[in-house]
Amino acid sequence: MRKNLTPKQNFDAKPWSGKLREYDIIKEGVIALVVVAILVATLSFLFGSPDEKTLTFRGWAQSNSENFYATTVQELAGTSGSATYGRPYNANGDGLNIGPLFLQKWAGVTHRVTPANDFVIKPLTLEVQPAEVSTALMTWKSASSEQQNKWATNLDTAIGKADGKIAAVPAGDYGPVPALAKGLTDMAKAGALDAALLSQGGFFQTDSTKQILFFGDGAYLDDAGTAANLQGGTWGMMNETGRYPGQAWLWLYSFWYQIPPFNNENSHPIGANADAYIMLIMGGLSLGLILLPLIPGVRSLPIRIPIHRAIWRSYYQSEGIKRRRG
Amino acid sequence: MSGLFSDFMNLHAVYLKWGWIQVSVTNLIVILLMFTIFALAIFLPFPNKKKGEKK
Amino acid sequence: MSNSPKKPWTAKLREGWQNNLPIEKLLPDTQPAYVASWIYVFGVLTIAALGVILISGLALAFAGPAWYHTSHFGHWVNSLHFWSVQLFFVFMVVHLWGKFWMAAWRGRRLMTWITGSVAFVASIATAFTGYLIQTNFDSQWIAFEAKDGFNSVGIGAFFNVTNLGQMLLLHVAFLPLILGVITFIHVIMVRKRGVVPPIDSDESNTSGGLK
Repeated sequence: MRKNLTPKQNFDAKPWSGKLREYDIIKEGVIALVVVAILVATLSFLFGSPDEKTLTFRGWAQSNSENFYATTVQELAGTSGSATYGRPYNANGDGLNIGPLFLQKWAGVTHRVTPANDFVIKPLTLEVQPAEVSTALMTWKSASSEQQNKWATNLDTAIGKADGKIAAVPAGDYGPVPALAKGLTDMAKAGALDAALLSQGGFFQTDSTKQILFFGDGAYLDDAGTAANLQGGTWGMMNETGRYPGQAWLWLYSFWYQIPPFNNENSHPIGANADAYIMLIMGGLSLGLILLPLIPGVRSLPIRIPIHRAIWRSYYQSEGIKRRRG
Repeated sequence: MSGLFSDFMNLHAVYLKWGWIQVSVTNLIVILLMFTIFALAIFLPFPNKKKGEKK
Repeated sequence: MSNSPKKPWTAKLREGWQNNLPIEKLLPDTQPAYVASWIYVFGVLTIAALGVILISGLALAFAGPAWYHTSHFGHWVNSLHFWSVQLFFVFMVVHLWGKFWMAAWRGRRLMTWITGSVAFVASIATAFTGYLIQTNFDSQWIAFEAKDGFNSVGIGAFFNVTNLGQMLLLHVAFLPLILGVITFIHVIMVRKRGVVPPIDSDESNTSGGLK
């Protein structure tokens, strides 16, 4: 590694033998801590911090019961975002890829989620239900998976055709699905679904994956995100709720989602796999930052654009040092 | 205790938009503040005491 | 007796330490005359902000993740944590800009640059897990959105942003420890190599000693 260094490189590496100035490292540290502590305490006193209350299934079912009902049917039909997601939750899709790299798929199913059972059937089973829901559960459980899928898909399609208006859905071969969906909607409205998904039939439970996945399948969470301007396609990654400062340091990560082809899901292959491509780009750029001193052109920018002349101006002046070239 | 101006801070943010560029006023303030701090840090005079000089 | 293969490890460590990083380098009371610009205070300001982050974070950790939602004092401590993080990133980025324009990696200071920029990336990761464990609406939103990025490249298989328990322990234990170690090494590197000399100075224009 030790190639011959230039005289300047040698000079830069040697301990400094030139003029010195007074310095008190401990005092500097203490002053910095006190200044920052005062600044932080003042900002906190003046502005507080953001803390918007969690949304709940209860809130969703009460404010938009049609959307909740329709999402429940999608979970049973296997057409929801969670159901068709792929790894790491299930194998119902290949997920995203970068050319021949199917990293999402190759990582495997490590957090198994079966929406129909985890989001609908199991919570319903955990509660004492009205007679029609109990009967519907028995009918569902004793049917074949093909039959279950047929009923749920029929209703899912019909809801789609009715533009989400549940009351406008015509009669059809839906089996126990309408009763199950209504049963879950009523459970949600009562707050019992929040509790059931939290405990998942157990006691201690610290993994919120199932709740988050189910929650995001409908419009409630998405609409709240749009209202708070947190959507990825409008620089949401940088933003915070209310008027608080967000994460300005995520500006470059957020940037890619705003421009073609990344901002168009229908553009293949990049737009459709935007998340993966952007992860790759940001990984590369981060590596570039870390290894910047090894990148020709970039590492010479500070020499070519002499901001350093302003930084070290008093030393350059007092020693009569002219600008080096190269 | 929430901040003195918490009610103001919890209102909906104001966004400035130029085409596909969009930034909250608060974030813009933070970013401009950073550039300003950088410029001030470079150009503000710094007290210079060499070793051996007394105050 | 030196360079004898039977020299105790302790002696080797002690002597290596004394040779490379004597206490005078760790706790100096002089510095090169060119270290005379306000841009130089942003490293220590970043560490000071990190100190406030750690202290406020410890308070939040002690009282548990739900405390600050219902306690007025807890809300203020959360605010301390929030604003110290904001200042931390402001100071760190200004420090990074300064170090770039000074080409501070010169003179065998590559590792100083590397540890600093790795600390930057690690800070972003640590802050990210912090946002996830707020147990409020923001956490719900960020968890749901962020999972897609990580899942798309297979990382989601073992780094599950929707797993509150995992994110909590990463944020409170695992990542601060890693960040602390990286920061420590970074500061030691600065002390060991000293502050980088000005771009335009060299043997020919440097008058030595205590003038």
